[in-house]
Amino acid sequence: MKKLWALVVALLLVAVAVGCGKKQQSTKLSIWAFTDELKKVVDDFKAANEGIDVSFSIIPSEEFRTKIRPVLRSGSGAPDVFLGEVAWVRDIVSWGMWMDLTKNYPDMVKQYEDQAPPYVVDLGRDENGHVVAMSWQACPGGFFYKRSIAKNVFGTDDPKAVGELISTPEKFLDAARTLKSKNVKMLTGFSDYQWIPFYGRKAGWVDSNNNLYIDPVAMDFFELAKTLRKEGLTAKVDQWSPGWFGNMAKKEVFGYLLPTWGLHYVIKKNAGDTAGDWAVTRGPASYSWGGTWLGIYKNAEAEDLAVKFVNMLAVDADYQEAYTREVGDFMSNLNVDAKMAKEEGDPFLGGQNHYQFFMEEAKNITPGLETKYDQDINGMYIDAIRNYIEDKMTKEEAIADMKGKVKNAFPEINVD
Amino acid sequence: MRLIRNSNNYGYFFILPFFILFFVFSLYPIIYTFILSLNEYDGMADKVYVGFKNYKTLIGDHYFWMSIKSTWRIWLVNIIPQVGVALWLAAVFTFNRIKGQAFFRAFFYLPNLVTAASIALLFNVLLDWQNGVINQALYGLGLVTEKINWLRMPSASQNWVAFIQFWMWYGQTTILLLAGMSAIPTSYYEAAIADGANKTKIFFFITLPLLRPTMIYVIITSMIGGMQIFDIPMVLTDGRGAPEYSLNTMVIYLYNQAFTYNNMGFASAIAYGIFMLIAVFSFIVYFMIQRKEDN
Repeated sequence: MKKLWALVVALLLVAVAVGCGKKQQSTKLSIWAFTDELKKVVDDFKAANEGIDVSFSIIPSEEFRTKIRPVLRSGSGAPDVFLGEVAWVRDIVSWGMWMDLTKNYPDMVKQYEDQAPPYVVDLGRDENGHVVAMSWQACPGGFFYKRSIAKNVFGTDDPKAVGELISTPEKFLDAARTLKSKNVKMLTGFSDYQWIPFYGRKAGWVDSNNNLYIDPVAMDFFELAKTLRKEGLTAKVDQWSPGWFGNMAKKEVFGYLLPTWGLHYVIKKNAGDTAGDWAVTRGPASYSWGGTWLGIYKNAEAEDLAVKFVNMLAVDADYQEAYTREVGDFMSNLNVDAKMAKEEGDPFLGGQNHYQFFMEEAKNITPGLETKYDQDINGMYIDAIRNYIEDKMTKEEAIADMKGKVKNAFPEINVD
Repeated sequence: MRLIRNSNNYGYFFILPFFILFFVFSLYPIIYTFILSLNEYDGMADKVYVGFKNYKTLIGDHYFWMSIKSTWRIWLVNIIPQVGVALWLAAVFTFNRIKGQAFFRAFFYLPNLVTAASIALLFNVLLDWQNGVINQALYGLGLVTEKINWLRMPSASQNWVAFIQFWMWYGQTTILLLAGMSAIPTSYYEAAIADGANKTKIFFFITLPLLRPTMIYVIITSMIGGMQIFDIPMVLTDGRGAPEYSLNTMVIYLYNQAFTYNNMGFASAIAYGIFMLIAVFSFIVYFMIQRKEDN
C-alpha cells in the first residue's frame, strides 16, 4: 500500500513538474504588427530558438487600434507582443495593456535606457515613468535631395552647403524659387513639410488640462504651405500617392523630407536610375517622423518568449548591429549607430554616411510633443491647411473648422 | 389528437435554428446597442450611464444633420438617372427584339459583381489630381486648361460617388424592372393597340402604372441601401468624409465615432438615429407612391 502511495505521489510530482515546465518554456509566440519590417526579425528569432513557433499577424496601421482594442479588453486571443506607431503609441500606453517592464525586467530596461536616445525611451513610458514599450529604432529626419540637381542649380552638391541654403523656412522658399526657375520643384507636395512645424512647436496638441493648444509655429505653416502652392513650388502630389513615389526616380523634384526609414524603405526602393545621386542634409529644422514601439501584453501567455523577442530586437547590441548591417535602419542603440558612423558611407548616398548625420539629428529632437491624439489631430490640421490653401476657407475659418472636428471627435478635449 | 400535438412540437424544433441565430446575431446586438447608447463608453474603460444625453447631443449635432444631407444628395443624384436609364433599357428590351439580349443583360449587371471597395480604389486612381487618367485625358484633349482636383471638390466628390453607385446598380434595377414589365399581361397591350394608342401612350398609361409594385420595391430597397452607403465614400477619400464632410455619410459618421474616435455610446445613438430616419423615410416614400396608386 505504501508503495502504491509512493507511486501516486511520484506521479503527481512528475505531473506538476511537467506542468510547471510547460509554463516556463512556451513554444508559441504570437505577435501583432502593422508593418512587415518585423518579418525578418521573426525569421531570425525562429532560427535562434529552435522548436518554437511564431504566429505573426499584420494589420494595417489605420485599423490596428480598432482591431486590437476588443481583443485586449476581452483577453481572448490577445497577442503576446504587439506594436505601437509613434502617432498612436501614447494612446496604447494610456490603455495600460502593456506589461510594466521597469518593474518586471529592470535589468533589461536599464540597459535600454543607457543606450537609446531619451526621447525614444520617453515615448514608451507610462504615467509613472515606467517603461512599457521599447523601440529598436530612432527616426530623426532629414532632407534627401538629388545631388545632380543641386550641382546644376546651386553649383554644389555638398550636404553642408545645401543644408545652409535651406536652413530656415524663408531660405527654403528662396531655394524653392531658384529651383522653379530651372523647372524643378522643391517638394512633391506641401504636406511633406508637416513634420518640421510639428517638431518646431513648444508643446503638443493637448496640454495637461486637456485644452487644445495650437502653437504659433503650427500656424506659420499655413502661410508657408500657401506660398508653396500658390507659387507652384511643389508638384502638387500627395504623400504616398503613386505620383509621389514616381517622382523619386525623375529629375523634376529636388527632394523629400523623410526620416531614417525613408531611405531604405522608400527612396531606395523607388529611386530607379537615380541611385548614387542622393544625399541627406538638415532642412529648416530637426525633426522626427515615425518609429515603432513594441511591448508585451500584460497577461501574455508566452511571456518568456515575448521578453526574449523584445530583448533581442530592442536591447541586444549584437543583434541590432547585424540587423542594421543588413537593413540599414538607424537603431535606437546609439552605441551601434556610433560604430556604424565610423564606417564607410552608403554608395546610394554618393558615399555619405547617414549614421553620422542622423546621430547629430537625434540629439536635436524636442521631446514630449507627442500626445495620444496625434494621429487624428494631425489629420485634421493638414485638412485645415488644405482648406486654406485651396481658398475654400480663410485661416480663421479653417482653424474654427478644425476645432469643431476636434471637439466632435474627442468631447473630453476643451476647445475655446 | 396526440399526433397533432407532436407535430407542433417538432415545428418548434425546426424553427429553432433561425431563432437562435436571430437572437444571437440580431436581437442581442440591437438591444445591446440601445444599452450602449445610454452610456459613455470608449471600448476600454468601464461604461458610464448617462441616460439620454447621447440622443440630446445627436439632435443638436450639426455634423449629423450634415451627414443626412450628404447621404440624401448622393442617393438622389444616383437614383433618379438610375431608374430613368433602367426603365428605358427595360422598355427597349421588352418591346423590341434585340439580338444578344441575354449578353447585354449580363453586361449591364457586371459592375455589380465587383467589390465596391475595389471600384472605389479604382476611381481613386482614375480621379487623381495630377496623375489620374481622367485628368490626363481631359488635359490631353485640351478640354480643360488646368487639371481638376475632383476629390477636393465637395459637389464633384458627391457626384462621382453617385455616378459609381449608378453605374454599379443600374443593371440590377434594369433586371428587376424587366421582370416587372414581362409580368404585365399582353392582353392589355393588345387592347390598347386595338384602341389606337401609340407606343408612348402605352408606356405611360399601361406599363408605368402596372409597374408600380416593382417600382416601390426598387426605390425602397435602393433608399435603404443608399441611406447606409459606406464602402465607396470610405475608400474614395480619407474615410472621414473629406472634402468638407461632403462624403461624411450617416454610416461613415457612425463608423468614425465608434471605431476611430471610440465614442461607442454616441455612435450607438447615431445607429438608432439612422434606424429611425430610414424607417420614417421608407414610410414616406411608400405612402407617396402608394397614394398615387389609390388615385
